[in-house]
Amino acid sequence: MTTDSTPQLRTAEQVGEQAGAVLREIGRAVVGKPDALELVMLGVLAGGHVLVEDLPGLGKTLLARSFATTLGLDFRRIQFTPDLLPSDVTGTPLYDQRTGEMVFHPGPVFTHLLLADEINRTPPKTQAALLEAMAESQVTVDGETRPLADPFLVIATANPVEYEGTYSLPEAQLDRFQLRVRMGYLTAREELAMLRARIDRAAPEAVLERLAGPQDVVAWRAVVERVEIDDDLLEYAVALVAATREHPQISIGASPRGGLALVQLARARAVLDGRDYVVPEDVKDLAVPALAHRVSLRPELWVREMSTDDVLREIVDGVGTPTTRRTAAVSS
Amino acid sequence: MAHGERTPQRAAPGVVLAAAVVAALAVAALALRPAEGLLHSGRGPLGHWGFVAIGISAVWTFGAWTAVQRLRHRFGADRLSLPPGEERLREAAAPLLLATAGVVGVLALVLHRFSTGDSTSGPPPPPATDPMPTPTLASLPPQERPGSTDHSSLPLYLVLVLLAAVAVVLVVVAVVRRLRRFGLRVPQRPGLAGAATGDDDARLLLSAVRSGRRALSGTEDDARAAVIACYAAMEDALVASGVPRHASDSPADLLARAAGAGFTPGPAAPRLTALFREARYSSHPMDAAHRQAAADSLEEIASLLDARASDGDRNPGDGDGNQSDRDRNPGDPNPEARR
Repeated sequence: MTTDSTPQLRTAEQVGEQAGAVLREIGRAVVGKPDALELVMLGVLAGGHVLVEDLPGLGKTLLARSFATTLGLDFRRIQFTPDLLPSDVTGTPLYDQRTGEMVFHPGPVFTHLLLADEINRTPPKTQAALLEAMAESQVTVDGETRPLADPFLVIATANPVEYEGTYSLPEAQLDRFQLRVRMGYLTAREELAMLRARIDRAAPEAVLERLAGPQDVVAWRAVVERVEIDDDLLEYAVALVAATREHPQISIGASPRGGLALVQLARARAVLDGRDYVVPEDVKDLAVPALAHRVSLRPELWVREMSTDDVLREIVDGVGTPTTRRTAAVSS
Repeated sequence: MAHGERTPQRAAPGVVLAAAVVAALAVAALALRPAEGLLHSGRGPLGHWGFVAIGISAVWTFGAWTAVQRLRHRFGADRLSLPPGEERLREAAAPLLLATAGVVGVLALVLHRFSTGDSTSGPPPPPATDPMPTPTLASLPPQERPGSTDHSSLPLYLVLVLLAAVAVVLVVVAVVRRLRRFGLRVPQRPGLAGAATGDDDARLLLSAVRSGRRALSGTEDDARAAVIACYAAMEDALVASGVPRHASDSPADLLARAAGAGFTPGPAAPRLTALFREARYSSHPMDAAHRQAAADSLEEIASLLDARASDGDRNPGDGDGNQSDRDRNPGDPNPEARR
């Protein structure tokens, strides 16, 4: 599975099966979170970056490490702290005494999968160092631009409840994340199963098998790029984005980048489902994770602890899906 | 932030408002007796005409209603910025103030002393020449006092009954609106609900399926259109069966809603939905095999509906079957086993 020399010939169905196998394997380690795992996999397929936002101890770091292991990706982790410097992320040139030259020492960002743990604990200056890497897959140090690995994926975690000593991510950086994932607590039955599995394996974490490699991920993304989407569905995505800009409880609506992310994630979901075409469910089900972190609520709603997820769900329930009949004729 | 804010409504010109206030004061002065004290019970030149009182009440009520409509947005806009204590006070005061303005119009009409015609048209009666001692004003019952017209006003109990009726109507309207806001449905009469899930539904479903068959026969050359027509027929059938269809529903939502409503047309519906998705949202070539598969799914749904209609004919008036069976044979613990 990991070494397919002709990645361009893969079909959406094949990629869907392979990605499904990866999800099942990760599911052995991250118990009871199939929806969160699927969303992260969509980020992998769509070539975006994922923000995992939830309380401590819910398995955010385990999730990122499990994806790196199962996908066979080079993995680095940055624990963001208030004293972290931008050069700690991107790398820095150091003087080599033997050669008398400045030699660039790449930072942890030069990897396939970067886990940015507790990204909201570092000042904006260091957060911004990650911006260029996330948006353009390259870093510029001392005027020299260096490309990052392909694939390059950032899985960032953030704790939404602790505000002491944290720096909220600016909208510009939030917009760089293709989707936001919330883990949520396990049910009592799932938590019991997790404890039982921990006792049975007699080890802190499950040992996962590598089922793919970097080239596979690149090939999967190429398949996503071939997924077709009907014009009516594009209009539906645009209507959803536009509704966020007109909603009375939202002060800043989703950006055009949000629409791009929504469509790309919908195409990835189609591939994960073994299809090479997008259906309304792909767009509708992904509207909240793709757009909710890109909008800002009016300040008075913060006091009421309303979340952007709630408002986005209300928007999704109010925007009409494409009609049953086609608006433009397509020949058989 | 400019977008998302409500466009302010254009206010009425000040001259118009001033003229309206002056006119209202003039009418009020003519209807009352401006030369007398505030608590004087007499009437002014316009006070004899009942239609003036009716008109003033109607205009007042209409004005109060218009003001309520205009002020509702302001109340709604301000509520988000209030602390919880003031918010509760606002929630109590706002409806009270708005409702009171309307009630004043109703009270003005109800409490108006309508003239009967004979007490004011004739000359005042001559002074009594009876040697009997003249009773003092305080000793007379109210209906016999000079100038009193209480016999022509509405009795107090009638006023109270009217006010109670208005209050009941307002409460019912408020409850219904609150139920609708939370997505709840007003309970219907059992007889109507039972009829809606009986034979009529089955006939509606079958007619929808038959329309799908007709559409299928009319699109023999276009497999894509035929598949979409089959799905549209199934969609119509589900809607006819009482499954609510929202504009924001995806095909999966409709199937889930149908399952939630107890309508389970077997595996044919998901199969037909999958075919529809491919026909509607992909450019895959659609051929006779797809058309045939869609037609087969539609036939399967039709046969299920036929069976359901037959069950309905055998058990007329049976909404969901089980309850009626239990009613007819309460000792039978498993009525399904007899079918």
